[in-house]
Amino acid sequence: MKNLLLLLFLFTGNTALSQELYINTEPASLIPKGSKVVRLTNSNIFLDGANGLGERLGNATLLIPSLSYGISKRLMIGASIQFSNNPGSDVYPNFSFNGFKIYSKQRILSSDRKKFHTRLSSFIKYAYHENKFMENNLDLEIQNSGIEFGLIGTQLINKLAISVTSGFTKISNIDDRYAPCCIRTINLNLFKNALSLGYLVFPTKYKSYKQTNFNIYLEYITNTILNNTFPDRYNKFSSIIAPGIQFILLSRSRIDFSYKIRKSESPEEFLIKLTYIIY
Amino acid sequence: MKKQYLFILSFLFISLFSYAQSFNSTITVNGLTCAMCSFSTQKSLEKLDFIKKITPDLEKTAFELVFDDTKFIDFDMIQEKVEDAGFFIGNIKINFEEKLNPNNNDHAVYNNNLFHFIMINNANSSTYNLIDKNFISENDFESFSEFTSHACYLTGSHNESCCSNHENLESKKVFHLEPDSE
Repeated sequence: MKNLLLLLFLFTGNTALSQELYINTEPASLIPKGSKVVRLTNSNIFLDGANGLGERLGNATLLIPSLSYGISKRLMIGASIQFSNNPGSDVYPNFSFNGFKIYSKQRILSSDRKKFHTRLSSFIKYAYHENKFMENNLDLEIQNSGIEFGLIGTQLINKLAISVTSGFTKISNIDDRYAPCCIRTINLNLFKNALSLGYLVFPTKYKSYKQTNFNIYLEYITNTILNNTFPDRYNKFSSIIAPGIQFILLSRSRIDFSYKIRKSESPEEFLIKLTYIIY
Repeated sequence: MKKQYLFILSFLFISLFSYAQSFNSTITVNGLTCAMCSFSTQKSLEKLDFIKKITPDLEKTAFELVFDDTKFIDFDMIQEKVEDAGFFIGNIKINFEEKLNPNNNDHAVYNNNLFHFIMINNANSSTYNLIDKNFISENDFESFSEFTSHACYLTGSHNESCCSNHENLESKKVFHLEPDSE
């Protein structure tokens, strides 16, 4: 197993980067036993289509509070709910409950040396969302319903971290409205992959918990539809590139900013994430 | 038979001391790469009631621990708390107030802890490394094992058959030390 991870690491190139508190993907490490992580995500999706009345769509605004808990050093769980407006709706785009996610992560392997660590974990996630903001996109994080499971490997050396996520996603309840005969719903299977890089910029030397840390991130997330047939409004392969920055304050809270760029004329998204750890 | 004889013989050479000399400890933790990780580890260690004060050295990823002299110091619990936070102990150093000069296989009680000294080099030192099974590599454990015939090094506990005369101690645990050469 160690060799496999080493190979994975060599394969992805060991010029890799640091801090693993990724913004759009999860690291392989778990939160400490007994601690709770409270998070609030505000996301704005810059929609550019029109609604049924021919009016230009405004931004979709999402508010996602979440709570995670470290049950043991090998297991953590998390849950979040989403509130959002619905610019695509013909009626007034009210801000209301739009779905939830539950998540669990299990440690498989953990190996440390001084300022160096390797982690391998498995995860499973279930998401339910009512409104879909982007008709041509599949994104379990913010707008689709389904289940996802897979593996995450993280390698961290000094100030440099790299993570690889690989998983299988089953998205349910896709509206196949362009089927020749009739409207029906279908499921889609996706192969999900992500490469996440993080680099610690400041401080160059740790002196106290009060120092503000500054990290920069680059995350690349891809989805490949495994079904032979699927509605042609989707691309078989889709990807997101998400650069981001992060401030860690007093060693227990975080402010993250990230900009998600989607492939092929899909809406872009800006998100702010606030995180606080309760010990 | 020969082994048993050696065992009894070794008992004759054991000197038993009890001291009220206090000690503190410096632990290094592996895998810590950010202040947030160190803070989590510190918060986890703070749950132990026998630790009075924790001073972090973030650059060295180490913590200096000041203990409550009236309590038994369970180093296994220190390891457990570090691992709960998601990291691993690199090493544990125990710093005594004064230099000690123990012989190999000497046992001594300091405050509420029974320590067993394994002296490969008979250096005077005030700083000792904890060398129990869970804190060092398998290879190191094997090489230290050659310097003691005491079963307590394997089991980590004193009982009727090994390191007796300590029944009055609060804990059955015995921790093993070797002088720090640094």
